[in-house]
Amino acid sequence: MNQAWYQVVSLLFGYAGAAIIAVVVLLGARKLAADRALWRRVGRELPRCGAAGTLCVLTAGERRLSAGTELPVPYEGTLGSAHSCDVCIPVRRVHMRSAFFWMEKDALHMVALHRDGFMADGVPVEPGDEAVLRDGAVLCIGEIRLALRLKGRTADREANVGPYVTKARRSKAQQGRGDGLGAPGKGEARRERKIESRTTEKARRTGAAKKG
Amino acid sequence: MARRQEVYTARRRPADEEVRTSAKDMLPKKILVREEERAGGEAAQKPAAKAASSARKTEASAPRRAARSAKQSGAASRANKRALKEKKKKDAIFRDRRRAVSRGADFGVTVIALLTAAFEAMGLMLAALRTPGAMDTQALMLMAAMVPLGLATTLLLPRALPIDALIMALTNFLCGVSVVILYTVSPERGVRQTVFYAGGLAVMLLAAAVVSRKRRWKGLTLLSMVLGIAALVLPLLFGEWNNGAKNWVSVPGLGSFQPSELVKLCVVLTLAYYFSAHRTVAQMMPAILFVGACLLLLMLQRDLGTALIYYMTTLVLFYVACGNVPLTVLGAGGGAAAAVMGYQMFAHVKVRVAMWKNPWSDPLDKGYQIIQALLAIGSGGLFGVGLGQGTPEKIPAYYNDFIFAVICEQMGLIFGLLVLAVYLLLIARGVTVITRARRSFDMLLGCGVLAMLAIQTLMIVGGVIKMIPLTGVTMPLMSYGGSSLVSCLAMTGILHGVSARAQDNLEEDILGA
Repeated sequence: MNQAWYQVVSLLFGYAGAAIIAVVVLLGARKLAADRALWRRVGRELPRCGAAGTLCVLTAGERRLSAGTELPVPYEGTLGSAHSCDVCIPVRRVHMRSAFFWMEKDALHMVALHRDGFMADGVPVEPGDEAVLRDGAVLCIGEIRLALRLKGRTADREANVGPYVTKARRSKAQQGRGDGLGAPGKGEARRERKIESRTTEKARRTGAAKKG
Repeated sequence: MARRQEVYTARRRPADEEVRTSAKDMLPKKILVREEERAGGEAAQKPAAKAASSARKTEASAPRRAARSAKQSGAASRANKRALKEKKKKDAIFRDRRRAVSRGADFGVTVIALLTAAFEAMGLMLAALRTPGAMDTQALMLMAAMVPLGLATTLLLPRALPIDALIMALTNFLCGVSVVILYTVSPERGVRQTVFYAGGLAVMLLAAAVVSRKRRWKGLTLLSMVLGIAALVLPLLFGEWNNGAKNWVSVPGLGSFQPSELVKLCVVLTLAYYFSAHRTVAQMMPAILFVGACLLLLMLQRDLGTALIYYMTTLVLFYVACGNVPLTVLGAGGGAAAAVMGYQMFAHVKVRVAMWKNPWSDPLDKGYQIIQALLAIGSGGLFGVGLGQGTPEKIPAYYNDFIFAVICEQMGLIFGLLVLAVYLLLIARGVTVITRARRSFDMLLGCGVLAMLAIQTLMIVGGVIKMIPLTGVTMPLMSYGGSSLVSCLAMTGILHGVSARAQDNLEEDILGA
């Protein structure tokens, strides 16, 4: 092609390129926004979306949590009485961050974070121990009894004959650390001790008043 | 639609008929009753007059009856409308679910793929016609390779493999622009870039398949740690000093490669694994130590730009994983202190900072690079000087570090800004993908990839436009170079894998609902 013609055509290509990339950006932004809205709508219509299963409350000691309540369990997170926990059990006797858990294959692995630990199918799980909970396992945290129902695992539960809880000693490093989603920090522990002592004092006073 | 109309009419018809028949039944009965009452006295004597009066009364009570029947029919139609509304809502939910789990390119992505193909075809055709009196067949062959490759990867692959169509379309667009620009400024490099692009696509598919299917990552993470350290030691043992850094390794028969580009994948994987499964600082230590070792080796190689990318990615992932603000701020402070130490220790860092402050102090030697880049961007204007025009060869490293300046010169500032918008879109899509991830490992893996791509783009574009000191890193997906392109495509493959896992989880949820 003649040099002069080439210059003209290449300039025109510059304009065409700008138009093409502008359309690409617009279409991409439109698709991005549409997909975000679509996923939000779909998520709204699926209330259990993102849950690996549920924890069904069998017996509850307080008004705030009635028996039969189903708490959705995500694929990983923390369990405790704090609102920031992924599975919140709003009962005072339950520690703020009682355990952390994650799904692995067809079981929920749970590690106790508090010194009181919890019971899994009657087996005590101490801090640092790892409980492997399969569908149908019963958790006892304080006075609360919870049954684990994992999504689409009914057949597995019937076929499973092994123990529900296996213990594996984990690193001691994860105890007593206050960062991230691990065990509570010093401030949180202090706050919790305060709440506990207040509760005990209240119960003592109530008992004394009744006796009086 | 037709079926819905049938349902609507089938539900509506009986109700209307019922109302009509009840009105018909009521009318004769009432007339009869009244006629019977009046029949006791005068009915026999004046039948015609009675009939006329009863007819008048019937006419007088007709509006009341009509109102009653209208009320009944109104209630029925309201019920019908409600049912119809519910049905429409259900239809919309099913349609949304079907669209949410559908894989493949929709209208927007198809148009993006076609526009990319058109851009590549026009650009390479223009490059073929550039030489007066002869047709460049190599450009035509390149066009014949690039256009079908881009269309197939955007339109066909997402239907069969775990690929996010929009990410693929945007990636292809950036790579296509890169090949066209590189071919016009240096045909050999353009052809090589196409080969790297094809190889990178294969690596991307592999990464996507591994991330979407693999469940246990411990072994691979440990392996990647060992391989990462070994790869970073290689340039120190066998590399040669080049542009003030010793970060390239030559392999006889294969050419040279930059290990630090490939180690990026190892860093992201290690950080994601240790920051997700182990939630305390102590348990994050293996990853932190690994990154520390990598940084040390990069400092020894004097590859400070890549070291900065690793460090900032680690900080971002640390904050995302544990949300610990004091430790993150402490880490950032440590980084700043290390940067000051680097400035004091390395002479070339001092030079780069000085040239960033005032490149005109040494316009023919140290500041030549940055001045030429700024002149190129300025001479391009809004719409550029035209493809293959201008003097990009005057900029040192015009094909890798300074490709953004070449793009701005040839295609204009508007095109350059829109290229940055495409990067933003890519990162925004990645953020959408990682927010859908169900597990922290997937989320952190995607987040690490996005942090690396974003930081690298920001660093090189900021360096080219003299916003920050030049760091000497490549522009993701656009700069010439096999190591860089393959590692960037592998990182987008990780995003595809995370997206596919989120999609699988959504499908499970919808099936379970």
